[in-house]
Amino acid sequence: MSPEGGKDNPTLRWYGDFQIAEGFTRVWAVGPMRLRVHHGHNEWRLLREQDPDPWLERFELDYSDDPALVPDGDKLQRVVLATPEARVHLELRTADRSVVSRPVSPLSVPGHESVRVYVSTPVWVRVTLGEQHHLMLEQPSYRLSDTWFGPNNMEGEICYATRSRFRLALSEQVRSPSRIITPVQIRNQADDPLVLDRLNVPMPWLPLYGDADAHLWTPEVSLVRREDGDLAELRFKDQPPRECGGATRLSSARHSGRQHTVFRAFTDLLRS
Amino acid sequence: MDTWFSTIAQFFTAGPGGNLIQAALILVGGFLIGRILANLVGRVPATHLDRHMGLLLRRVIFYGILLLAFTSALHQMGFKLGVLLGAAGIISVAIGFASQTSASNLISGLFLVWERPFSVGDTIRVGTTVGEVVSIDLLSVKLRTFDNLFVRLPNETLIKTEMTNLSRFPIRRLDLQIGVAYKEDIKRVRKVLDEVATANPLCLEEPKPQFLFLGFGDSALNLQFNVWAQRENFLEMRNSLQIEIKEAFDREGIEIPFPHRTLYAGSVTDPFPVQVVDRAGGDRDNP
Repeated sequence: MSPEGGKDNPTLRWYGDFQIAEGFTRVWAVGPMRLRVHHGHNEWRLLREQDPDPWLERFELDYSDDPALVPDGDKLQRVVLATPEARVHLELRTADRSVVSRPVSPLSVPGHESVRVYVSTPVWVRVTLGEQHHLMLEQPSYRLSDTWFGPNNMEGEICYATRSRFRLALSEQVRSPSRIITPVQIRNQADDPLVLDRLNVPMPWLPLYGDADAHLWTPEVSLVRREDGDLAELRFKDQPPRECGGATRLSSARHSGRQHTVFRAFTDLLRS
Repeated sequence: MDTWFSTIAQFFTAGPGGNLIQAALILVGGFLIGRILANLVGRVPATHLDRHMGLLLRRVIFYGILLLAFTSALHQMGFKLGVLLGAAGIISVAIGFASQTSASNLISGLFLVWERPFSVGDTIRVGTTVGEVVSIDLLSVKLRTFDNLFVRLPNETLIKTEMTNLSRFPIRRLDLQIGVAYKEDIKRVRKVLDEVATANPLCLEEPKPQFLFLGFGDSALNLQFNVWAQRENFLEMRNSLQIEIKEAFDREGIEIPFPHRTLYAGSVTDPFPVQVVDRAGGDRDNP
């Protein structure tokens, strides 16, 4: 059964509004995530499971009253609701912390050159219920490892860590319906090369867009290293990237206040 | 009757009774205002005022207002404050000699508040005691240990002895001591440990896990594996990582040896003769 949220590409559009009748279970197996939502008598049962392979290509949607699908186990979440509700909303969001992306092999940008790379991060799924949008669950499609990003072990912030190949062409980038692509424009205005050994993408400050093919995007992030040395600036605008055709805004940024702003990135965002 | 009533009225309006009532009203009013203002500070959200500062501010406001009310009440009753303060000076010297410990704790408490080595809610270790700071008072610091015991530490002790704040920095390092059998390939052991750390989401990728070869022990090759975790996840990571390391070692056939001794019979090449005897059987080798 195809989800109701699909308009342009019902095969890949797995988010939106869904009806789940009492006694039925809906299953989303998208990438490494398998999410099961069961509507029981006055209660909802939710279970998110994760495959260890972050790049697992899987897309299976199911809707059935098969008792074998009813979630159970230690990680089960139960939501008790006295009023009858049958409509759940699957909203997609960006990560709740910044994501530090490390290249599989170090990337060097020579002086006075610029390059555009793509960084991929897992999407966060938020399940809400009914008209009131009661929050039932918010989980990533793949739980990334924690990492520390800062000039030393005392100052900095906890981020998520991911490995990236920093692909230059979109065609080479692995496309998954459970991952968000962020284009990063890097410009090195200094004379010496800029070696990128990690890149901090401020995901909570970025809104989420979906294109006509149900691919997920954030605005383009621009990174400029000035002539005078080590400090780098990172900026972004609240608009979909040029690759995102027929974009619809799926969710706004988690945090506001940093859009359209320029800020130093050496300790906060980029360490090169 | 009228005379009796007017005498009472005069006592309470113009006489010493009036001053007493006014002084009592000032005291009660000061107490109430102090409580109300302190409670108002207590309602300031934690985002604007941390627990430590909130507690401190509440106490300063309450006791400050109470002191003002007390002195005003004394003044109202006709006491001369200058004389009282002079007397208080003499008394305080006498009390100071008599209560050196309390005075020392009091001064230490002020230093603790000023230096601020920890706040309410932090987890600290003093000697063998580890616990969460419940309150920082004038004479002592109160802790709640993890087995839910209430511990009172005099401020003087905290000033004098080594104190470790486990909550000061956002990330912590876990140092795992691991021993593996002499036959194991150290490079392979290191690779397995790195893989386990990478697969555990609570183990920080940066700062990188650190592998140390400590030396050749009596029964094992002694290794140390240092991994970092977010402070809040430290205990969970410590448990999950060690379980995963044990599982990975079992899966890969890496032996964690128990202490053992090797006996040589004078020559490394000659084995000990071993004879299997069926003790339960009929053929017993009785002398």
